[in-house]
Amino acid sequence: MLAAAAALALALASSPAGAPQSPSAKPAAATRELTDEVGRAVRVPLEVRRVVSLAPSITETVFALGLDDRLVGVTDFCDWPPEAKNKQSVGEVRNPSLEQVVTLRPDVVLATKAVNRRETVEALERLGVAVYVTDPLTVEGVLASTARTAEVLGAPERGAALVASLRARLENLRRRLADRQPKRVLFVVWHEPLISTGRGTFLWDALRLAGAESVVDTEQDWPRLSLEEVARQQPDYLVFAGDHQMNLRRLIRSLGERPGWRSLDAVREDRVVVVSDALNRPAPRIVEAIEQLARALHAEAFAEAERGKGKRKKGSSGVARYSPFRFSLFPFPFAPQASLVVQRHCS
Amino acid sequence: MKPVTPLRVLLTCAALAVTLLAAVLVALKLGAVPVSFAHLMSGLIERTFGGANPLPADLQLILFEIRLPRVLLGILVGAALAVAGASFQALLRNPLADPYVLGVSSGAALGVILSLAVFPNIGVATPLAAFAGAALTITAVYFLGRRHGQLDSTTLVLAGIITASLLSAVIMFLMTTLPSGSVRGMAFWLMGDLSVEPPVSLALLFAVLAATAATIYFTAADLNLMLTGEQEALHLGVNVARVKLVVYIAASLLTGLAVSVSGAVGYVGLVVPHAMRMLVGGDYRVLLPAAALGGAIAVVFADALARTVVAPTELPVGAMTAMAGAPFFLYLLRRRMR
Repeated sequence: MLAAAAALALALASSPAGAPQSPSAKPAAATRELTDEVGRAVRVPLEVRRVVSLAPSITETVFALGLDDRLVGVTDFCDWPPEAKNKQSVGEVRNPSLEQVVTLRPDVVLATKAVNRRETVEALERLGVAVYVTDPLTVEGVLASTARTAEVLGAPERGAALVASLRARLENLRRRLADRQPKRVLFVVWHEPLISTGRGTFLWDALRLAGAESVVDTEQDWPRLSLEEVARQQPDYLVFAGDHQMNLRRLIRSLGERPGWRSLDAVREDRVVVVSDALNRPAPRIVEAIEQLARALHAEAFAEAERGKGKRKKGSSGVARYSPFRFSLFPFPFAPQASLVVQRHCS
Repeated sequence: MKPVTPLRVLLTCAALAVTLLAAVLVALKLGAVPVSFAHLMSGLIERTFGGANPLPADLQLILFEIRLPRVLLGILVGAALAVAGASFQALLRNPLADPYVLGVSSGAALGVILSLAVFPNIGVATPLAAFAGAALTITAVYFLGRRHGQLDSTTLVLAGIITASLLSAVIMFLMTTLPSGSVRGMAFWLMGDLSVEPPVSLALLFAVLAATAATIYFTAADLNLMLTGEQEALHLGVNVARVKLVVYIAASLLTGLAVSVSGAVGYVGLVVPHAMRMLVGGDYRVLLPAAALGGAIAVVFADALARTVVAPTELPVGAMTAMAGAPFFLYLLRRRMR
């Protein structure tokens, strides 16, 4: 009996393999072969009209390139720019719905090694869907990846223009910070358990470009730390990313009372910096977040220049130092300021 | 209970097979992308007999390249786990016995993680390492569970639980310390997940399942006698030691098979044999095939739910089986105590 059931199952299992093979979504259009950032060969149509993004950073990049009209699918986590939420969702980054992706008939699916699962990429590949995987490991890599994404979508000139302007801003920043001593910081990826970032990530590089030096020096990408170790290092600043989140505000307000955290000089002396959560995403907007962090850490370098220009009030230079005391008096003192910072960089 | 005749076994299996077929149809129809029943039927007919009106290409892809392999994987995992669970329950005369309780699943999982870390590019290494992990674990637990040269059920279960907890700790250690690239996605897999296509062909996996389950089935009459007590079975002429060895090995192979393709899908090995006992009685000659089909039905159905309740995002099927299985298990427990 069992054998009979198994035989039936066998027949079922082998039938798809014998039947006419996976009907490719469309007749063979002109294609070209590319090598993606993890070294896979990918065959994409010469003209890419339909794109599915499997990561928030990629969605942002496509929007920044002004190619969002080709974006037919995004993930649930793609929350920037706000218009991204109007796109069809294919599910969550770690486990998107393959059927939803296939139904959207994408010319190419863009994934990123750091957040997507290899299994997802392999499964799509088997279904005959072209998947281009990005893997930026430095800020320079983010720029290069942006340019390559533009190229995959058949608009290299847009990539070149965007990257040139971003590079100019970074160069400007580099000159401004040239004679500044880097500030020793702890970048808090997550607070419970305490997770920071290691040498191999774009975040580490972003900190460096903002005139910061992480007190965590490890090969591991996302090391778990003990507060003891942090207390031993006594960083000059704590850096958090995520400007609009209520939870983060509450957390920062509570640091002064948290055991372990309250023994950090940076907490006691109110040297806690919050920057845009764009710092967490390897997308063009990271340059904005780097500038924001640089302003918060090296206010003097910017204050001089701005006083020289006489355009801005002194106090507005990247305000990002929050005291628990201020919070208790008025719960949201930094919301308008933070958005001010963002707007300024956007314009 | 009525006496077990070949006819009764056949009728029971036929009824369950029809239920399984219904579950398969439901699982093929449900998903993030809506597929009409007409499309499904015409697609199936066309696939089986070759037909005139072909489906849209993307629907074909969804039905036969995405959903069908997953449904087949669910059948494989469900049948393997339920038969393994029923076997362990008979060997130990303990209703709590289950691949998970005995640590066999954790051993298989550790094997998978090690193989992914050491041979990330050899597909066959994964199920082989899972077999090895499961077999080594059950061997260790088997010897740890002996007292005075005899297998002692309580000691065995305790040894299994402690071994499982030790192995889980080792798995956590490896997942934290190994470079993140090599074990990426493991956390999801550990919760039980059918979305990943197995590295070995399904046909081969089904062949192993059929051979192993058939081996266990040949001992069904002996298992019945052993359930009344090992001494009694010995007196009735059962080669208890040999039956135990064969069934232990076969059941750990089934566990390794299931874990290597789906991770930790819990409660199937525990709940399905119990449910089938309530339906068809405790005779292993009918219980084993019923458990195999019942396990397949349970996992196929659970996975259909996992794919649809929060679509387009998918839940791990292990979360679904645990959510349905744990309360059912508590119900069984309460009923037993009354």
